[in-house]
Amino acid sequence: MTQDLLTLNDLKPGQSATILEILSDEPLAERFWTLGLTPQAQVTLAHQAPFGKDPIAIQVRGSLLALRREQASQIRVRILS
Amino acid sequence: MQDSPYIALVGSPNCGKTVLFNQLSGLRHKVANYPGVTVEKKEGKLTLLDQSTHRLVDLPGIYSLNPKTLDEEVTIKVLQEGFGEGLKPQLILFVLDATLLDRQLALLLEVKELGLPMIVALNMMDLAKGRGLQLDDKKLSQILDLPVFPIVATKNQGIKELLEGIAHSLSKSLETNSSSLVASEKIENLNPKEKIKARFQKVDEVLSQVQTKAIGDSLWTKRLDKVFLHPIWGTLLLYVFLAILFQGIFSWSELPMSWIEGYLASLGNFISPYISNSWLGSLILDGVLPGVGSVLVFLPQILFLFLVIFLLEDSGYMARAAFLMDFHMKKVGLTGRAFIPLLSSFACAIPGIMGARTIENQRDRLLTIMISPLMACSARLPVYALLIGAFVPNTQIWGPFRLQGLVLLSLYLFGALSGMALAWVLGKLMKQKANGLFLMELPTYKIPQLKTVLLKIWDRALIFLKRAGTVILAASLAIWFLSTYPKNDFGKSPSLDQSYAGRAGKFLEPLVKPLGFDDKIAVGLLTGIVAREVIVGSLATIYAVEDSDQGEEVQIKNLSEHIKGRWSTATGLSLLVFFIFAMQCLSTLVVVYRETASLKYPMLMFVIMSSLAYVASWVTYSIFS
Repeated sequence: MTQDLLTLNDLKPGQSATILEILSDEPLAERFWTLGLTPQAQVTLAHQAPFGKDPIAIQVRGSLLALRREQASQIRVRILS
Repeated sequence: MQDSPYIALVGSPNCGKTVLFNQLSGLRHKVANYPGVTVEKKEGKLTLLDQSTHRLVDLPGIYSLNPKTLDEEVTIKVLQEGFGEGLKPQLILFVLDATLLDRQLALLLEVKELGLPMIVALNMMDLAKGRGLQLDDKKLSQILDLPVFPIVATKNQGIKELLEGIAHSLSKSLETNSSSLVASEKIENLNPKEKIKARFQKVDEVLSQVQTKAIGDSLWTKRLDKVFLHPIWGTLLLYVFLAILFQGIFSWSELPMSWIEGYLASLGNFISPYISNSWLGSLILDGVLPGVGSVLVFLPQILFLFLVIFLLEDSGYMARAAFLMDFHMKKVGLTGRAFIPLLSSFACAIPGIMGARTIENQRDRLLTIMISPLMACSARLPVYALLIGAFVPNTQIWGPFRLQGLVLLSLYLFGALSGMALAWVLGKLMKQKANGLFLMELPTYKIPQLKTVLLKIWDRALIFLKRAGTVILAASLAIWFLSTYPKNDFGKSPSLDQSYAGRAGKFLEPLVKPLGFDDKIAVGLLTGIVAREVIVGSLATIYAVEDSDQGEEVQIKNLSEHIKGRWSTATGLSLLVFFIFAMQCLSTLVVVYRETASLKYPMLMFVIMSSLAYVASWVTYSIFS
């Protein structure tokens, strides 16, 4: 697995990453940006829902955001730690 | 009034705007009819220290000035184009959650770019300090070039200084320097995403200058989420909460309900000697009291349900519930976000339908609206309670569980599951396919503020009482008139069969006969199109009129005994099932029309639900007769 192909979905609970790129179409991409999911922002995987580990909750800019894996797969990251 | 100057409260969702609004406007405020979950424009009077009063408008929370949901659109329209005649706010009171500066400062910068006069209330300072934040608010004010007032809205701290600040800003009517903080280059020249990025960069820069210590995590939120979002316990707890909620609606509301019943009965006894034997006496004793009274009794249950919903919302748990329910909602092509309006729909479909405005995707929003009337709203309770009381024996099943309770529970479940199935079917038929977007903020847990919750419940009570005083009163009077007129040849009231209502019932009887309903039920259903609970009042009125023909005492309480003696069990059960599905609520249809701006959806809703009701009732009657 090369670093280039990693997305938010590859994070394990408690793991942090830096956002590289948002691949979603507009207007969703802009929504992500507004919520603080901009390139270079740091995110941490905080929770996974019980069934199928979907949706997930991530920590970004001090807030906790819930989103589905489907959307998380459109956010490319570099995993830290 | 519409065109007088006003102050607008602006901020992100969950920033404590509503709490501040209540602190500033006291107990006096107006809400447009049927407010969603702080979705409607709320207006109050702000009294400054010199006793001058000003209009204060609480705008729905926003994440940016680029609207993604309908309630955000309301706010942005007001900010960019103004209210009504293009009147922009004379002052923006921006509420900033001190625990979320990292993100909300970006919104502040964006709103500031509008160039409207603005001051900042830095809210939740107690929580932020508790989590270790050390911040120089004077310096923040200096850098932002805006007055900043640290406050704790829930504890009324810093409000006096804020009021002084508002007065000062109003007197100067100063222009805000819109040349944004994103220096060096002009922000107008950037594309939308570059703008967002530039603002966030500025936020980080500002924070590094004003913060001596950054905020830490909310330990309470971490601890509670470990339980409430736990893979096993989290889901179990959600189900337990829901079970307690519905159990509470039925058992804990009994006492206040019996008080209301008692008052109504003694009111009837008190006035009857003075007015009996006149048409007015008949009007009040046979028309108004049974009609309005039978509905008023359910006020405690409705308010209890709203109490729990508001507590769940204000504590921050509701978003977690949506997170956990997303899995189930996904199966029928909806998202977890739909869970919140649908839960409100158990109290009343109308706030549910309006609450659906917070759903970003138009398709999901329409589906949520279409199925919300299938969630058993509180207006069905009077009907369910009456019919179950009359036709289901209260045998003990196991432990505290009794047959009546289980039947009631299954009616609720059946309604909800039918709603899910309908969402799935309608979703398949829709041209626009699901985009699978679920994106929502999980706010930190907070202790709900009693005053805020009580004020919201008070709004609900007023709406309900207004309904009982208008729609249901009018319907009761109409039923009374239709069942006591035309007078016969001797100037006396006709027997029920000869009255207008009786004739209408006879006319409709062939249509509902396959469902096991007689002419009197047909009249009840006809009047019940206005609102579901009206049927109880109608039946009470019809039988009261009939009984007073025979010189018997009028008693609402005995309606259950009354229909037990008259109807077969199959008829009772068939009517019970009919009410799971039937679209017996004019207000809902009107709101659906208003919210979708199309006649198609309310009409479709009426046709689908009525057909479902007819078929399901027919099947039930065929099985049990």
